[in-house]
Amino acid sequence: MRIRIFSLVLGVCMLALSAGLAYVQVFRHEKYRVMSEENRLKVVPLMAPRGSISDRNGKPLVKDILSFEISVIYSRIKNKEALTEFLSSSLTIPEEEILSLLAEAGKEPYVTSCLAQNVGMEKAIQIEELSGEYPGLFVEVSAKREYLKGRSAASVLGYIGYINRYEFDKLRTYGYKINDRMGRDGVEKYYDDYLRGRHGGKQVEVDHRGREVNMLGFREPLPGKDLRLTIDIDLQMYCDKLLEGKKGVIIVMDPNTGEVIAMASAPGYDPNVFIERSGEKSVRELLNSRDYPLLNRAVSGVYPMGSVFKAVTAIAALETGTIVPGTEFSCSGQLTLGKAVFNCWRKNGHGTVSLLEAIKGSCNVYFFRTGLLLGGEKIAVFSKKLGLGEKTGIDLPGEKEGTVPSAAWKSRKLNQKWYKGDTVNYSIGQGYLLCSPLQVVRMMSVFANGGQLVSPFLVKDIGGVRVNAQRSVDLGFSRENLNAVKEGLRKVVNDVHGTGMKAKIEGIAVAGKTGTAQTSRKSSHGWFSGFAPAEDPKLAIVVFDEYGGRGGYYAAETAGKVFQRAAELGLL
Amino acid sequence: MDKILCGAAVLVSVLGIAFVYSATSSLAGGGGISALVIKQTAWVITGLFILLVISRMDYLKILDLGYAAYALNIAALILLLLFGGERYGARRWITLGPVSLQPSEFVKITVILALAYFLGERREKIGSLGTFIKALLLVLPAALLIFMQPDLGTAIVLAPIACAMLFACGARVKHLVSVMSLGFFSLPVLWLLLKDYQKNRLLVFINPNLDPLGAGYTIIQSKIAIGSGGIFGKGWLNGTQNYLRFLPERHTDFIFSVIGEEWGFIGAMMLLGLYAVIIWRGIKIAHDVPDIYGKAIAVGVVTLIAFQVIVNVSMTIGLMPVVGLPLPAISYGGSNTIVTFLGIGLLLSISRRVHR
Repeated sequence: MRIRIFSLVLGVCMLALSAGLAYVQVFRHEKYRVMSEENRLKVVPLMAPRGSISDRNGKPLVKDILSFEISVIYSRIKNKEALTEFLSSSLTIPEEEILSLLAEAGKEPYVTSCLAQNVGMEKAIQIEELSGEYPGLFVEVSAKREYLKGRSAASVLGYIGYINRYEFDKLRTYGYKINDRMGRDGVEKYYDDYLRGRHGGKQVEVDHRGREVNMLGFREPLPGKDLRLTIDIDLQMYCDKLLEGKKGVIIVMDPNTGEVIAMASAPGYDPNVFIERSGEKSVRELLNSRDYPLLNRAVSGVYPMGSVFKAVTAIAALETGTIVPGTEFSCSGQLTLGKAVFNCWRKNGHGTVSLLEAIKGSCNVYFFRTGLLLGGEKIAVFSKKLGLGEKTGIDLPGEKEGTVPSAAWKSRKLNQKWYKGDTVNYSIGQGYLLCSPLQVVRMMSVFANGGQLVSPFLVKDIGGVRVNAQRSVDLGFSRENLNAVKEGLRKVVNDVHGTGMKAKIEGIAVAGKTGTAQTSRKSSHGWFSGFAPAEDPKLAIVVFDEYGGRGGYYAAETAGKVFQRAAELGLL
Repeated sequence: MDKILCGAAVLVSVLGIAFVYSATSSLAGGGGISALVIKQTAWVITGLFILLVISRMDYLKILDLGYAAYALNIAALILLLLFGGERYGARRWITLGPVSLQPSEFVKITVILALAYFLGERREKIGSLGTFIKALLLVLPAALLIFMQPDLGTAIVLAPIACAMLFACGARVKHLVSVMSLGFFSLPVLWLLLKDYQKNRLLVFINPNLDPLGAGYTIIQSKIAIGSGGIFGKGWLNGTQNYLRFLPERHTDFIFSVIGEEWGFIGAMMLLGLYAVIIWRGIKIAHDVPDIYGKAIAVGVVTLIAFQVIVNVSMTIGLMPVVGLPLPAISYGGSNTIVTFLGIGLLLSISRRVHR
C-alpha cells in the first residue's frame, strides 16, 4: 500500500543519515578530534590592498603601505616571563608596560590582541624570525593608507574610515567585512567600490608552533583598482599653497574637455589624521570647527556670484536680440526704480558705455537696464542653459545644485510676488541666485570653448581603463555673440581701467570677469573667473575668496599667479 | 491518545532545551542562563500547551478552517513582503512587541490543512490531471512568496509535503513523476533566480573550500564539531568548538553539531531514534485512520518533521548544502517549535479517532 512505500522511503533516508553520521563520528573521528582539540585550525583573512590614486602624470598621491603589528593569542602563550623579556628588549618598552598589555589581552584569551602598532619593518622581521620560540606571538601585516601629499588635494581625495555597525548591517551582502575601511569623502568615497577590491582568506591547519602545515581552503584577494586623476599635482599644490590661511576655492579646468586640473578648497585638512590613532584629537577638532574645514567648498558650497554673472546677462540679452554689442546706456552712478535706488559700484558712474565697456568696467547700471529689458524669466532660462541651478555631475559626493530664482520659484518657496527690483538684482548676480564655484567655472568655460557646456570630471582612468567621461552639449549660441562677450572679458584684464587688471600676466592674454558679491555680513565675497590664452583657451579658472572683499584684488591677482605657474609647468 | 508519540515529543523538547542551553552558555558569559534559553523554554511550554489543546479537539473541525487559515497566512506573507523590515538581509519576521513570528513557518501547517481539505473533498477525482494541477496551484502561491523573502529552505520543504500527501491520497504516479522531472529540468532557471549568497551556499556544498571564511567555514566547523565527538561525545557543556565560538548559528540551524560534539555517536543516534519513534507512530496513525482527511494530514505532518530532520542533519555533516532548515522542536526558534507541536497535536487528535 502507498503508506508502506512512503514509510520505506523514509526508512531508507534515515538509514543513509545514520550511515553518514557513523562515517563522520566513528570512522573519521580521529581526524576531527585532532583538528578540534589542538586548535589546529586558523582562519587567516587576506585583505585586498586598496587601489592607489595618482595624478594625471602618474605621480602617486595615495597609497596603501605596509604596517606591522605585534599581537598575541593569550591562550597559546606557554612562557609568559620569557615572552615579556623578549618583547621588552626588542620593542624597548619597559617590562611593566608589556605585562599590563598582556593582562589586557588575557581578557579575550582566544582572540588575537594587538600589543604594538606601527612597528618598523626591520624590528618586525627580527621579531618574526624568533616568533617560533614564543608560541602565541604573531607579527601581523596590515595595510595602512598614506596620503603622500598631506593637506594638498584633500578636498578631491577625501579620506577613509572604518565601517560602523549600522553601515555594516546594511552593506555586508556587498562583501564588506567588519574591519573594513571605506571612503568617507572625495573620490575615496565616490569610487569606493572600485578601490576596495575583494577580500580573500585561507583556512589553514597549523602545527603546535603555529606554522602552516596544510591549507584547507584558499580564496585569493582581488586588489582594488587604481585611479588616475585628471589633477596635475604640481599646479594643485601651488593652488593649495596660495589658499593657505584663507577661506576659499581655486578650480582650474580644461574648458574643452571638462578635466579638472586643480581643485583646492580652504580651509582644508590632512587626511592622514584619520589614519593614525594619534590623530583622534585632530579629527575631533576638524569635526567641531566652525570654519568647516571638511566641507569641499568647490562643489558643496553655494554662494552669490556677484558681477561674474554679468556674462550670463550679456549673452542672454544678445541671443534674444534685446541688445546688440553697440547698444549704449548711460551710467550716472545709480538707477532709480520707483522708490528704490540701485547703485553702481562707481559712485560717479561710467558715463555712456556700450556692452564691451560695461563688461570691462563692470558697470551695474548698464546691466540693470539690460536686465529690466530682458525680464527675470529670460535670465532664469539662460542661467539654467549655462548649467546653473543643477548639479554638474562631477564624480564627487555631496555636490549641491544651488538656486536659480524665477517668478515661479519665488512664489513657491517664499510665497511672494516677483518684483522688478528682483530682476535688477538678478542681472548683476545678486539676490536669490546661489552657485557653487564649480558651476561658475563651468559657465565661464562656455565662453572659452565656443558655446559648449562641458561636464567636469576628476578621474581619467580606473585600473588602466580610460573612463571616457567627455560629454558636452552645444548650447546653440551664435558665434558673433560669444565673441563679443569674450572680447569684453579680454578687456577686463588687458585694458587699462579693466576691473581685472591684477590678473594680467606677461606674454599670455588672460580673459575673465571679476565679481564682488554682497553678503548678509559686512564683507563681500571676492570672485574672479576666466580663461587663458584668450585666443585659444586651454585652461579656465575660478577663484573664490570667502568674505575676502573686492574681487578685483585678491581673486584676480591669484588667478594671474595660477596662470603664470601653469604656463611655467607647460600647461598653457 | 497515542502515549508513545506524546512521550517522544515531550522528551525531544526537553532535550532541545538542554542543548539550547549548552549552545548559548558561551553567549551568557560562561555558565549563566541566557535569555535565549528562557525564551525557548517559554516557546516549548506554549507549544506543549497547544499540543494538548489540539489533541483534544476534533481535527475535522479544525480542517473546516483550513482554507481560511491558509488565506490568512498568504495575506501575512504578502504584507511582510511589502512592508516588512529586513533583518539579516531577509524579510521573514513580523514583530508584535517582544515576540517575533515567522509566517513562513506557519505556512508549513496551513498548507497541510488546506491541501488535506482540498484532497479530501475531491477524493474521487484525485487520479485526474485537473485535480492534480489544481492541488499544485493551491500550494504554489505560498512557495513563491516564501522564496521571494528570500527563504529557500522553507520554500523547498513545501514540495515533498505536497508530493507525499498527493501520493498517499492516490494521485497517479505518472503525474507525480512528470512534475518532479519538470522541477528537475527547471533547475537551471531556478538557479538564475537565486541570490548570490544562496548560489554561494550551493557551490560551497560541492567544495567547502571555495569560501573558507564564509559559507564553507560553517560546514567545515560543523563537521569538526560532530566528528570530534566520537562515539561517546565530550559530555554536556563540554563542546570546545561550541564554547570557543567556532560554530556560527549553533543554537539554531546548527544545533545538531552541538549535540554531535557533546553526546557523540550514541547521543546523536538516540536523538535520531526519538525522531524515528515520532515518525513511526505518525505513519502508523496515517495507516490506521479510516478517513482520507486524517490520512492526508498525518502524511503531511510526518513528511514535515522527517524532511526537516533529514535535511538539517545532512547539512551539518556535509551531505547536503546549507539551506537553513531548523531541527524541529530543538532548534531555537519560537515559530518552528510551535508549528512542530501543532503538527504533533494534530497527529494525536487523529490518533484518537483511530483507537475508536
